[in-house]
Parts: sequence; C-alpha cells; structure tokens
Amino acid sequence: MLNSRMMGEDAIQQYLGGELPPPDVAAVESALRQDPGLAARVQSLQRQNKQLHGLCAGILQEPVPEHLISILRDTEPAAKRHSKAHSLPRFFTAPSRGSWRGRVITGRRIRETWAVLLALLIGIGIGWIAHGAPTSFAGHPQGLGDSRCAAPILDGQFAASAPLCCGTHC
Amino acid sequence: MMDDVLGLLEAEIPRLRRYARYLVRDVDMADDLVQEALVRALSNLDKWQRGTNLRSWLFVILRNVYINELRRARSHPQSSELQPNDMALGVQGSQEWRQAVVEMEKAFASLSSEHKDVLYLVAVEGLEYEEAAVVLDIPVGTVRSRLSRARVALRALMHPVPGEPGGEQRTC
Repeated sequence: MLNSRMMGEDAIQQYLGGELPPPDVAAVESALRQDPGLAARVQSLQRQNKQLHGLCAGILQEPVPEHLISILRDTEPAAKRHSKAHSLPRFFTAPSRGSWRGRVITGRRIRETWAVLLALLIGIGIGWIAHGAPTSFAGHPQGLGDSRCAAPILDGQFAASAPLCCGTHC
Repeated sequence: MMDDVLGLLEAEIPRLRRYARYLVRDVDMADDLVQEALVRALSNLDKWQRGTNLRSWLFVILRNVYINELRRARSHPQSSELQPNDMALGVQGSQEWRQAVVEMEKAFASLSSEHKDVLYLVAVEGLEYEEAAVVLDIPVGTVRSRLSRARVALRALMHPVPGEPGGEQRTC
C-alpha cells in the first residue's frame, strides 16, 4: 500500500494510466485530497495527457486512401501472399539480396540456363555424328550414330516436342 | 468471422497511418509502410489472438516493417528514401487548444527518440505499458522508467525555469 511520502512520479504515472491496484488507487486519491501540491502535479499531468492526445489527431480525420482499403477487400490471404510482389510499395519492389523472391528468380534462371545448354549439347552432338563422326558410342552401338535420329535437326525442324534420340528409335 | 476481423483492421488504418506518419515524415512513404503492414497482417492473421489488442499487434508489424526498411536503407543507401523522423503532426480544435497543442508539439519534438517512442505509444495511442513494451521490444520496466522521465522532461520543456537549459524549443 502506498502512502503519501511514497507518491513518486512512477506511482502517479501508474495512477493516471489506470495501472494501480484498487488499494493503491484509494491511497493516491486520499493523498490528493490532503496534498494540494500533489493534486496540482496530477492535474498538470492530466492536462499534459489531453494535449498529447491532441497530437496528430488531424491525421485520424483524413480520408483513408482507397488503395489501403482495397487491400482488405481482396479478402483471400493466400492470394495476397502470392500477389505480394505486385502489391508491394515502391520502395519494397526491388528484391533484396537473399530475399525469397531473389532466390526463386535465381533458381528459375539456373534451370533455364541448364535446359538451353543441354539442348545445345545434344544438337552439337547429333550434328557432329551426322557429319561422319564415329557411328557408335561405347554402350550405344547404334543409337546416337543413327542418321534417322539426326534428321529432324538437319531439316531444321527440331523443337522441344521432338523425341530425343537415345536408342534405336526416334 | 473473417469479415468482422477485416472490419477491425479497416478501423485501425487511421491509427496505423498516424503511427507511420510518426515514424516517417513523408506522407506517401508512411502510407507505403501501412500498405506493407496490412499485407503482412493479412498473411499472418491466424497468429493474432482474439481478445488481445489488435492495434498493438498491428503496431508491432508496422514497426518491424519500418525497422527492416531502415536497415535496408542503411546498407543500400540508394534503394530507399526513408529517413528517421522526429514528428509530423496535424492539429484540430479551438485557437487556444491548437496553441496549446502546438506548444506541446514543439516540446515533444525536443525529446529524445526513446522518450518520444514510449510517450507516443502510451499517451497518444493509449497502449498499455505491456503492449508498448512489446511494440518497442523492451522490458516493461524500461517503458515505465522512460515514460516517467519523458513526462518530467516534457513538463520542464513546457514550463521552463528561467535560466535553465530546456527552455529552447524547436519546430519539428
């Protein structure tokens, strides 16, 4: 329990903030009745609180920009997660080093690079074989050397949908 | 059920905008912070516990967004225009009241950022000490002591003793 001599700034703060337990509230109020100086200090703090409440109050009256409200109207959180990169504010759009967005993009680029390299190697290999290179590889006596397999490439018709020639059939 | 949470979130947007405006001076940047905080809040809505203070939960998110962006701005100076802010205010009311609040604004702006942070969250936004402690990521005892010192400093700035330092007030 507080007495008037213990009525320090902390106790007053807690009293004003509604943080004191009921017995201490009663003690503070009793002290306020008996000590005009303390009462004046508490009044001053209450006035300070009211003025602080007035700070930035005009911002609360401003109309909320539509784009902020529309974030909430699109109510599917999962969809928001996926569309996050599109909805990010201007200074968040560049993927930071090591961010998940950066990693996803890097991974996709690596896969694309490997696919192009693989296609190129296959094309070179088939072309090399078709132009009189040894007609068999160890373990593949007929496969890669089969001129029928190279035909689609030589005709300029190679496409991703063309079957790979890796055995006796094309 | 989702709708009522969204309604609660929407009702907090003005408070979020004010806190963001406190953190960064620029209005557009403040709204960008709010936008990012709302997106993150929606993505993590399952982590908010009903019955707890939604405002303080949103403030934690907003502050984290702000701190992350500040860190990025420091490591990549050209990637962000964010600057630490002292204060950006809007005042309404009678002439006398406005004058009093303007005086308060000047005094408030003269406080240290540590004092301003606790005073803003507790006295302006009405957060409990424990909630302010979570937002600022400091112990609740530190909130109490900083708040106490902030109020004393503010009172000294508002009613300076002639000849003592602290009487000088600067516009924020």
